[in-house]
This record gives sequence, C-alpha cells and structure tokens, in this order.
Amino acid sequence: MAELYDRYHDSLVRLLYRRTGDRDSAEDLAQEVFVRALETPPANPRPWLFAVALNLAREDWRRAARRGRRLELLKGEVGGTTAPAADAALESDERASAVRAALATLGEQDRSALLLKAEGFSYDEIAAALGLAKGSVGTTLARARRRLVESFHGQGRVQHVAH
Amino acid sequence: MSHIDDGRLNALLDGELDAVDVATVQAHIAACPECARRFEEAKRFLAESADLLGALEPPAAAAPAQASRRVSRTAKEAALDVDEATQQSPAIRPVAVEPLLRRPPRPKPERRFDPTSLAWAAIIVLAIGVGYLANEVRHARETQGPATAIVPTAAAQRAAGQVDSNAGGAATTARARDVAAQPPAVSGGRRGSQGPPAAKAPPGEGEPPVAGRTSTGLGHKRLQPPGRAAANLALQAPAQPTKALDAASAPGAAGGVAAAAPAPAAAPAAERNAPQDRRARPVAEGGADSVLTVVPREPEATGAHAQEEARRGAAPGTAFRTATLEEAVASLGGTIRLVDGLEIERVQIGPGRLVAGADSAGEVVRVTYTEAGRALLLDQQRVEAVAGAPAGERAARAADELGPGDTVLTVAPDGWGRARWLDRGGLWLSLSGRVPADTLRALAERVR
Repeated sequence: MAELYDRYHDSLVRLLYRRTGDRDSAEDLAQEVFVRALETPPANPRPWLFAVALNLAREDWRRAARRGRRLELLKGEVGGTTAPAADAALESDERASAVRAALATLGEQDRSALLLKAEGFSYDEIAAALGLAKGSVGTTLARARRRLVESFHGQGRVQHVAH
Repeated sequence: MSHIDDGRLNALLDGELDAVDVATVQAHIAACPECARRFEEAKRFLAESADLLGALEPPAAAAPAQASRRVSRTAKEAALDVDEATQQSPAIRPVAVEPLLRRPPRPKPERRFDPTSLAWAAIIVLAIGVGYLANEVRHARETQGPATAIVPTAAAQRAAGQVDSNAGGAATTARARDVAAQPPAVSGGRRGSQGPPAAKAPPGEGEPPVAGRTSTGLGHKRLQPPGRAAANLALQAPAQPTKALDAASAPGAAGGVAAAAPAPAAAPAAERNAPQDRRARPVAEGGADSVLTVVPREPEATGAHAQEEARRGAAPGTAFRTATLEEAVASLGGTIRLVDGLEIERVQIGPGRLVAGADSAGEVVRVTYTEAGRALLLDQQRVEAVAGAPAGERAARAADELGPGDTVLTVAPDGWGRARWLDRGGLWLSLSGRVPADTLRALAERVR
C-alpha cells in the first residue's frame, strides 16, 4: 500500500484537482481512494484507483451541488475578497478558470478519458477504467481534445450585445 | 479509398497503433490531402489540450504545499499503521479469511493533545468564574453598597475595576452577566459568522464536513486542511484567558472572539490576526450578536498578498513579461487601447496562447488596472497582423466569431467575467476580472 501511495498519490491528486477545482477536496478524495484500496485491495491497482477517484469526484460534485456548498464556494470567490493578486497568480487564475469552464463543457466520459490520458494512461488502461472498448478510446479522446480546445477559444458565447 | 477516422489518427499520435497499422495509416495520410489536414488538426488539438490541462496544476504555493505535505504524510502514516497492526501487507493479505478479519482492525483512536479544546475549556471555566464573581459583586452591592466588592483573584480584579469605574451598579451587573453568558453565545455566534466556508468549521465540533466520507477509522487521524487549520488558529488565539478578558472589557467591544479568518490565510497570517483582537470592531451591539466581532480587513489582505508573493516566488516564470507602453504600442502595430479614467498598474506582453480566445500564434498586450480593489485585465491583440502568420487560421476564426462591433460578455462559473470584442481598428480586445457583467460592460465602453 505504501508503494501504491508513493507511486500514485500525486497523480491522483492532480487528476482530482483538475476534476474538482479544489485542492482540499482533491486531497480528501485521494485519501478516500487509498482507504478503499485498503479495504478491497485491487488486483490491477492503477485503473482501479483512478476509476474510483473519478467516481468519488462525481459523487462529491453531486452531493456538494445538493447541499449548495458549491454555490457557497462560488459566492466566496465572486465576492473578490482577496487583495489584487500578483501577476503570476492572476494569470494562472484567469487561465485556469477558462480551462476549467471549457473542461466543464465535456461529457463525463470524454472528460475522464482526457484526464486519465494526461496522467499517462494507455488506451488499454483507459478502457479498463471507464468500461470502454479499446477501439473507442481514440475516438473518445479525439472528441474530447477538439471540444476542449474549441470550447476554450470560443468560450461561453452567452450573449451578444451591441457595442 | 475510405478516410482514416479521428480515433485512429489520435491512436497514431498516442503511439497506440501496432507497426502494421502505423504503416497503413501513414501511407494513407501521405496520399490523402484530406486526412493529412485532419492529422495536422488532430496534432494541434492534442498539443493544445495538453497545454490547457497543464494550466490546471494543483497550486504549489509555499505554505499550502507544506500543509498539504503534512496531510499527505498523515494519510500514508495511517496506511502504514494499518499494515503494522495487521503485521502483513494488505496487498498480500489472504482474501478467504473469516468475515471479522476481512477488514483490517481499525487503529485505536489516538488521544492527542488538542490545544483548541483545552483553550475552549479554559474560557468556559473562566467565564463561569467571572460570572460567579460578578454575581458575588452584585450580591455584595445589593447588601453592602458599591464600594465594598471583594475580589479574590486577579481576573476578578479586572472585572471589579470595571465595576468601580462605571459606578452604575445595575448596569455593570448586567455587563458582567454578559461576560458570563459568553461561552454559549460564542459557539452560536461562530456558526452564524460571516467568514468564508473554511472559517465556519467550528474547532469544537470535530472534523470538517468532508471527513464524513471516510468510512473507516482513518478519519480521526487526518490533519485539517490548511485553510481550516488557519481558521481554527484565529479562533483559538483569543481564547487565551487574558486576551479574552481584555477584549471583553475593551470599550466598544462587547465580546472577545474574533470570528474572521479568510480561507486562504496561512497560519502565520492567522497568528498575525490574533493581536488585532483589541482593535476588533463589533458587528452589532447588544444581544447574543454582541460577542461576534470582525477582525479588520488589513491583516487578511496582507496575508493573502504575502501568500501571492510566495506563490509568485514558487511559480516558474510566466510567459508574460513587463513591457513599456512604447513596446506595447509597437507590438500592436502603432496603437493601444486603454480604459479611460483608470490608472495603469502595469503593462505586459505575452504569448496569445495564455489568453482564452486570443490567437495562439500572436502576441498579446496586457494592461492591468485595479478597480475597486479588484484586478482588471485589458488584453489586446492585433488581429490583422497575425492573420498573415502561418497559424493565422485561428485568428481568422476568432475574427469570424466576433463580428466587428459585437461584444461577447461571459461570466465563468467561478465568477471570472470577460468582455471580448473586435474594435474597428483591427484589435481583438478582452477585458476581464472578477467583476459583475454590468460593471464589466460599463468599463468596456470606456476603453478607447
């Protein structure tokens, strides 16, 4: 278990952070993944750990939405309670926000495949973790990549107003 | 000859095709312009999506990193504890065992020294003591007159000092009762405090909400995440007896607990907040609310700023570089747009790939302002100039999407607002910040 932890913890946290957008949640969920692995040692740990992580993230999102915690978090951010940020933080904040919004436009399966690929998963492993046929992983990734990039660049054409 | 689908093109790029397939697909791409074009496109999407995901690295701030490191180690320690308890690695543990043994025994809950609960216990005991003494004072006054109060301890002397200086028997008695009534009111007040979510986790109430997910005995071993820990520190600090009394007896401050600590405030910031208690201003006078005070904003801002500084130090150099106004004007082909009436904080130039909606191939000029304490970014890029560049296809697309005279207003789910438009001078502009859409639109109209 210690070896699994050393090998996959950082990668899991990164994936969960990209999925949830919250560092604390990512750490918490990663811990729970390892707790579950202790309870039910998986035969094929890598796909198992990441599949559980993605499921937990999805459940967490739903639960949070139900409790309105997400709303509260957003409210806190919108309030702009921080001092003017330094350049680096501001830029990464702005860009990360846009990327996260683009990522949110993807379907669950496409997003998961993309995040797993970003963690170095092979098509076989992605297929195992998401219950896909190996042959459809390429198509899933192709769609996910295109959608992410296009969504980022043409982001949120919510309303047109005359200038 | 049928075309190669996107899935196979991506599989080729990801190195997932076997040697025969690679040869077949490559031969087809060489012969088919349509597939060659789509292959180039797939390459671009792959590279750019990887680049975009790279923007979502977990924050590697100095202080939080340290804190999260601690959290991580705790999880690992817990995992190892279980291993030690079972005297065998869970990975090789036999599966067919008796049901009771199937789960590893839970580690015994550790009794750790918890300064927070101790501090709360201290303040409760103290408050009861002060209440008792205050009652004694009242009793003494009722029976013997105002000048004969007997106060046996130093703490009670403070209370008595206040009683004497106020010289109003009944009023001071009521005040003393308020002090005695603080502990319950404090815990109620904390729950209703206006702090950010992290600050709402009451230290006396055990784990933060997310801990509920942990289904084994692991939960009790977890350290609190940095934000919560900081909040607890801020709540804990004034709980020291003398400070609590000082704040309680300070003129104008009706209570002694500062219920403010921003989520991102690091522990040192929270510690800096502690001495601010004497300056704490009351939220409301009278009633249970009167024990709720808010620490002035400045220390938070300083803390957040220090944290940003730390992050800046930790982050590898960003691609935006500081530039003079002249350089920016040159980059934009002899012109620049500015927000009328706002003072420029800085001017920078960076690659377009860092800005959503801009053309990745061109340079973007970024002018930063501060409006009402919030950063405002005015990004601009000459569209005509990049249209001729090799990767100008995207600029052309941007120009197609944004017709001249149109403004696209968006607010991202996390509150980051953005107005984008093409102006008639051939510039692509983006004004963004954490400001409401209306404000953003009004500011966009002031861009000249």
